[in-house]
Amino acid sequence: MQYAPTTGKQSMHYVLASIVIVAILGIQTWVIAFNTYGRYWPFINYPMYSGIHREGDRLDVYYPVFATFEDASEKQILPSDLEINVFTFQKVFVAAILCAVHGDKPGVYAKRKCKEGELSRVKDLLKSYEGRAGQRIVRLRVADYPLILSRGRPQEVPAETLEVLDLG
Amino acid sequence: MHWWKSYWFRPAPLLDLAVLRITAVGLQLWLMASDETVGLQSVKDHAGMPDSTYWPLISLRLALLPFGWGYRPPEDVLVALWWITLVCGVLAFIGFRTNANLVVFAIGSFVINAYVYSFGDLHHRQAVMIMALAVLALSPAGRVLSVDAWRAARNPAAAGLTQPGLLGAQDEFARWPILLLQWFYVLMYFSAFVSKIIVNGPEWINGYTLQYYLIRDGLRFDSAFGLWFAQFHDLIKFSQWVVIIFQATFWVAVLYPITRWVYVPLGLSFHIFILITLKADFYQWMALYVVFIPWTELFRRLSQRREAGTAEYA
Repeated sequence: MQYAPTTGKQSMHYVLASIVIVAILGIQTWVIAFNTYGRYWPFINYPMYSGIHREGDRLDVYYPVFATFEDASEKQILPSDLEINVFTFQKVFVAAILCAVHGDKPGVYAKRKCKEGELSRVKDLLKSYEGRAGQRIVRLRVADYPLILSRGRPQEVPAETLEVLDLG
Repeated sequence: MHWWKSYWFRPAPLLDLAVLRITAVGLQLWLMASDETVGLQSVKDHAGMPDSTYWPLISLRLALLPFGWGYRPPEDVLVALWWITLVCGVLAFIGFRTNANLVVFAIGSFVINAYVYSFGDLHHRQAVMIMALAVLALSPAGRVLSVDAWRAARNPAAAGLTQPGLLGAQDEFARWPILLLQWFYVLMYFSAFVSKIIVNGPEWINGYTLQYYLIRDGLRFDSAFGLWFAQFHDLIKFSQWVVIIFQATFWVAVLYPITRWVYVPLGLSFHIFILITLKADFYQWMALYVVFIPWTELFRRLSQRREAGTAEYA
């Protein structure tokens, strides 16, 4: 194919576009190779639905969280109570409870790395809910979802308490 | 480096790039207006989240570095940025001062998105859109089907098109953004394949894995179809094989365009299936499949067929 002679401005344009091509595809490949997940967003790897599951696995629809108030009454907390969506509820709130139980060290069920200050994160997220309820929450109990996977329909099983966090 | 230039910078139709611009910008505007993650209410809701839940992404920290490492923009700044982004997006959509508006729209969309994703909840659908907006901003995406083109046509000497007419207009910088996004798709699908089969192992294709996600997300997002489909273990296992083969071999669609007749409908069906069953709305991935369709060639054939039809009746 014949090309028209390139001007200096065009040459610069070729170089810049080439740098962009190499940078985007190079970084994306690096991110996949080193499995960095979301750390370098928008360069991320794509492990959606990649976890293996087997017959008998507990269905992690969400971890139900139950709050015990000062008057000893217990009530389930839903994502809408905290004005967050189900993903933030699971990945931030529930994970923070599970991390806080173990003093910010990875717990068995928390599906993200624990960070510093998980307990204060839990308390911050509960603040407006406690305000509306008119009393403090003294304890949080995280249970698992009462269903397990089977070849046909899922089987109901009793819910078990995974962790309890005392808020003092 | 002749091969490099001939692969990435061979003259290509500007119309294909304009279709990509209209699709990508149009969808992003719709997502902003419909309050999908990047909507105004979503931005305000995240601005109201406690500081202890704000974990800025590295890319956001870098973008906001002049204001300090870990700076958290206040709500009024975010709201102003959202409106500026929206206005520039509308102007980029109609193609008025296209590149300048695309640059602002791409940067604004990136910052808003990165901010919303800095609260521990990050999703996979939006990254390819940010890439698309970024490469469009650096391309001649407003040279046809735009107000810029209309204004240039009134002053033909300054138009700069290599050939006249919408279907004939070509440029050597019209091909690389489309090719780059095609290869980006290959990497996204390959990453999904690697995560399933290389990282977790071939046992992933056991029928139970996808059944698990169908039931979990069916219950979580109230998807009756997903729960119904979850009963068919063997059919689900077959679907898992199809997914794996599709994701592992998607590069074939880039190297051998004829195979797109299989890969594009299959990929779209796959995304529609997970939208209905798992309520996973990968609209960005579906819409940006426009990069695999040779629009100029398609419109040329349609117009030739119409002309032939008109001639027959004459």
